[in-house]
Amino acid sequence: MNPVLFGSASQSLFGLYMPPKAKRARPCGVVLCYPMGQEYMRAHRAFRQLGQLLQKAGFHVLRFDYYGTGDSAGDAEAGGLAQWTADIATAIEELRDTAEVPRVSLVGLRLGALLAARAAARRDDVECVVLWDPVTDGAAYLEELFESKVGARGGVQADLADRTATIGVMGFPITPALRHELEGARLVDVPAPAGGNRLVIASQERPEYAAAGTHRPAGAGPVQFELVPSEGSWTEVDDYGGALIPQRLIHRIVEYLADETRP
Amino acid sequence: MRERPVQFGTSTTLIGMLTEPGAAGSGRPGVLMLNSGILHRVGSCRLHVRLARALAAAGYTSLRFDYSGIGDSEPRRDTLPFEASAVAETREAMDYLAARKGLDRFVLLGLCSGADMAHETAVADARVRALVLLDAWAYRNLGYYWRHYAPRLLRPAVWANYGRVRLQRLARRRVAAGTPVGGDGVEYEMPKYVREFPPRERIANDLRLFMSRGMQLFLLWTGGLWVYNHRGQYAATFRRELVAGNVREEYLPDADHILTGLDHQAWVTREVVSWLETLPHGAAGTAAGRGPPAGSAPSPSRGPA
Repeated sequence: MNPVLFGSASQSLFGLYMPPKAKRARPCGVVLCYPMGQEYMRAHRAFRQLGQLLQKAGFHVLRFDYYGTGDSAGDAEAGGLAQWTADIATAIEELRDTAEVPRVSLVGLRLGALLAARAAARRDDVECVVLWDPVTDGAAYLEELFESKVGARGGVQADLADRTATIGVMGFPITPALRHELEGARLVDVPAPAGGNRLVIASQERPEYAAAGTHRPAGAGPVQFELVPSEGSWTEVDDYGGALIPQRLIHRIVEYLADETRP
Repeated sequence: MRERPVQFGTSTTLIGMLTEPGAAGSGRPGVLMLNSGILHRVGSCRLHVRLARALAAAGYTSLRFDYSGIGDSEPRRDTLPFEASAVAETREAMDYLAARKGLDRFVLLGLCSGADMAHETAVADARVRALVLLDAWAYRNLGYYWRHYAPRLLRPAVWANYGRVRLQRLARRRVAAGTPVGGDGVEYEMPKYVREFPPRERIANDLRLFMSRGMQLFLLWTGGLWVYNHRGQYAATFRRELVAGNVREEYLPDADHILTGLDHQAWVTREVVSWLETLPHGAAGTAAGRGPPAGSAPSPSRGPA
């Protein structure tokens, strides 16, 4: 595991390059795209495991922190969807250069799925995009964050009607700019990658996941939907830093990406 | 400010992030930030990143890193229990900063299990000159019980509930426990470290050792730790051991255990940095015996509004 800083000097991104640990290295990399906020904290362990399994399957892997998150440069208030989408593009270039691979796949969880889809749009070097429990509608996602956390630990700490206020949700800020961006972000509006495959994989039965699994943008490759039921919620907060690691689902993602018979 | 990832360690490869000031402050100790539970090195709600950058702006070099098996660090190949490996690895982090940056005195900062391991490392290694402990081990005392029970005794609902419970017991009703079903240990991972509070006498001994070395302590409790409920509780519990000039004790009753409040995060960052700046860095180790016993003259509350 090689920790690296990449991107521009003023907006350096922290990443972990994980080289293949198989006899045969695949000519394809995988960029892992985290969710945001407390969901990022809760998913870190699962991403480590996913990365290790992909290494063993022969992939070059890069998992990284978006600008203003994790170990990357920038304050927590500095990030936003446009920035993070651009960061994924930067990470794709970084992995292609480091591993000398012509193509990459993207795996994104929650908001990371929406960002991955946006980053893959109109690119011709993306083989697959895996959308894991995807946020499909930014406005609905905000509602979910705001409503479920009122009065709970890490609950909303600002007047939601005040659109100039930064709102703390589960310990992380949602700035007015990020809120505005989220309200206009929908998966159905994202153009497809040229010829890329898409897997929507869900840990729970939710209508938006199923809808995403049947939505095939014009010019897109095959779209596949799978439900792999798993316990736990990404939006919970506990005192122990508990981590969700949906094992069967993680293994299924690796199996899907490693399937060389896939159309 | 410069930030760069580092790898170090002798028993396994530990991964950390080194943050250095543009111009190193002369005589300032290095600051190490320790994992809380299985949260990786960025800290709860990214607190360690925020702190590292504020510390660098004030001239401090800091290292946040992952213990073996946590975050991005490799697991160990030996069978050392966490309590022992964490202390050994914190000392390896100090060795690393000593060799690479010439630092010989350190401040350890941790929340919950991170506070526990900071305390244990300080016992084992005299290079530790100050501790910043968030929700550290605490002990209930008379003041705690008074604050806990007195308000309840004045509430009719509490007495009504007490009577109802007694009646239920008399009727030998069995109430279902209703214990929530947790994860199966595979899909939902919790820290393997079981937090047990050492006997009070052992902590008293440790504090005598700390004070004899002139160590400085910044102790903060949130409203999220069930055994602590008023500012000054720790000082009162250990009034014979603590030296007032060497200890700052704070209580944020509105804060939760993982400091999700943005205002609480900002307050902790600001106060930790400004507190470190008040310490006698150039003459660390000479501050013992400067004042009256801790708790005898509590300082005014400086918590966030």
